[in-house]
Amino acid sequence: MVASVTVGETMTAKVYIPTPFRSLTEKQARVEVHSGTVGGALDELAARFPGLRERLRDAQGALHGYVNVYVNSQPIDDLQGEGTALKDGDEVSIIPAVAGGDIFTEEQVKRYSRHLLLADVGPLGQRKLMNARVLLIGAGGLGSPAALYLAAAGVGTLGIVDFDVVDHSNLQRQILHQTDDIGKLKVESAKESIGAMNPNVNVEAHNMILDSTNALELFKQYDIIVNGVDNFPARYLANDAAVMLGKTMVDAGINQFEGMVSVYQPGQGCYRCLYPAPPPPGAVQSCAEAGVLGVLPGIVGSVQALETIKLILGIGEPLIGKLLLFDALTMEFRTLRTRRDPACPVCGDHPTITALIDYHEFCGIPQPPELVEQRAAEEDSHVREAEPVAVGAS
Amino acid sequence: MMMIELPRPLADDLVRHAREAQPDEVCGVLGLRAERVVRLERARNAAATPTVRFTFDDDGYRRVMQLEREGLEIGIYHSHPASAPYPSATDRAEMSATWPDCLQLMISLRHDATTGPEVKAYRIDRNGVVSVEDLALVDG
Ligand SMILES: [Zn+2]
Ligand SMILES: [Zn+2]
Repeated sequence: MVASVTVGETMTAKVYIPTPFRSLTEKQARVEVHSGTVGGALDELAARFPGLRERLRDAQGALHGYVNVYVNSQPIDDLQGEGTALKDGDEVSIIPAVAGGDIFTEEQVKRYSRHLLLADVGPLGQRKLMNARVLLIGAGGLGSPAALYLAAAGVGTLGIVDFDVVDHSNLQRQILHQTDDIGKLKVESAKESIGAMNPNVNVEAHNMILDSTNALELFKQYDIIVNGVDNFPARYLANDAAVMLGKTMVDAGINQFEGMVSVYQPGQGCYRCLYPAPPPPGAVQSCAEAGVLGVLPGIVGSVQALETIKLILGIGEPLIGKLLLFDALTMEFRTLRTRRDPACPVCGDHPTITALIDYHEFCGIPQPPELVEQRAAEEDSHVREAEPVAVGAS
Repeated sequence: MMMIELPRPLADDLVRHAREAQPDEVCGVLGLRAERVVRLERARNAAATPTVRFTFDDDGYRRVMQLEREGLEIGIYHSHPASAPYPSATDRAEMSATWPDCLQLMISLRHDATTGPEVKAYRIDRNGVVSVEDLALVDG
């Protein structure tokens, strides 16, 4: 606290009281003080008007950051602070700060500063990201980079559906999971990694096998579906469910050294328009069978995150009606045009598939053992019309 | 509840200021007499991140002092370039601590390209409770 200097009764300065404080100064707009310094004058006021001290100073006695003090229109920060001497006839003005701003916290302003600088993102775009709900199918090779980049970008809600536990063989490419996570549920491990990356993100973990009985209910809750499945039954299931609900899906697939990405938007074609029927069982090997270069899903999943962000922001040209092919060995990206097939059984002019079907039977693949377990557990609760489909991680 | 009157020329100034600074938020001080806005003075937005924050600079505070000296009631205006013309959580936290019950004029440009700017008036009390004030555009 600054000691006041008494210069006698001849010294009279006026303190201008701002509107918000006048309820404490008996409605007076100007109060005379006789202290020789600004700090002394403020204390003199505080002593005279109960309640004013708390409005001016914090518990440690420092002037609140939002209280600005001027002497004859000069900010005291440019003078000698509270030690600034007062002369006869000086006018001291107290002005509370005038400030406000967006919903962003200071932390968010810093975190998203590079987005806020972009004309195509800015506060409006960042708010769109923060309000978006994205569902990631699979917390594996594709889902990992997609989830981390979407989380880093500030997508408000990330749903993640996976039934698997983290295995040693996942760590070569599934960057959501660490060595310590082996044996943990993938959705739990994913939730921890995302929380560490960006605690602003709300992660909804769905530890279950996506199947014909739960896909619609789950997809319904999200704006965009990011597909990172590694098997054909799940791919057709996710496609059909997205079409039936009118949800946009950011689809991708990888195989050894090659990847593909496409965005299926309602009314503009779907996976079945390109691939009406699955390949014969065994004709295409999975990652587990054929292997995959670890960084490949990193690139492809990152493209999925980018496409998702473009869709949320409504900027650029997402891969709608286009198929992006990536060859990691030649480092070539090619884009093919695709078309909606009017004869498509799900999104065509006269769809023949209007409810989810048995996708294992459709693909001629037996159910994996995990499904038999989930089915047995569900058997009591309800009778299903269709077979479940495993969602593994690529 | 009293009706706040906003003369058209001042409303035009307000819109011009908000548009010129896009995508930054703008702020300024109002002088009121008998529930009518009679002065509108721009303040420089001195916030470090003006797209999402606003704060007066010293000149802005001098304008507040000047209008008070003229015996006018003080009001504050600011813009929301992209969001609704409603006090944000940040606005409520700041204003309830600093200028409670003061008239707040807010202009939103979220639909400026299609349906035009939106202007609303509020007061925020010491507890951060927002009350809406009726606002009428009046001639000259
Ligand atoms: Zn605001
Ligand atoms: Zn189709």
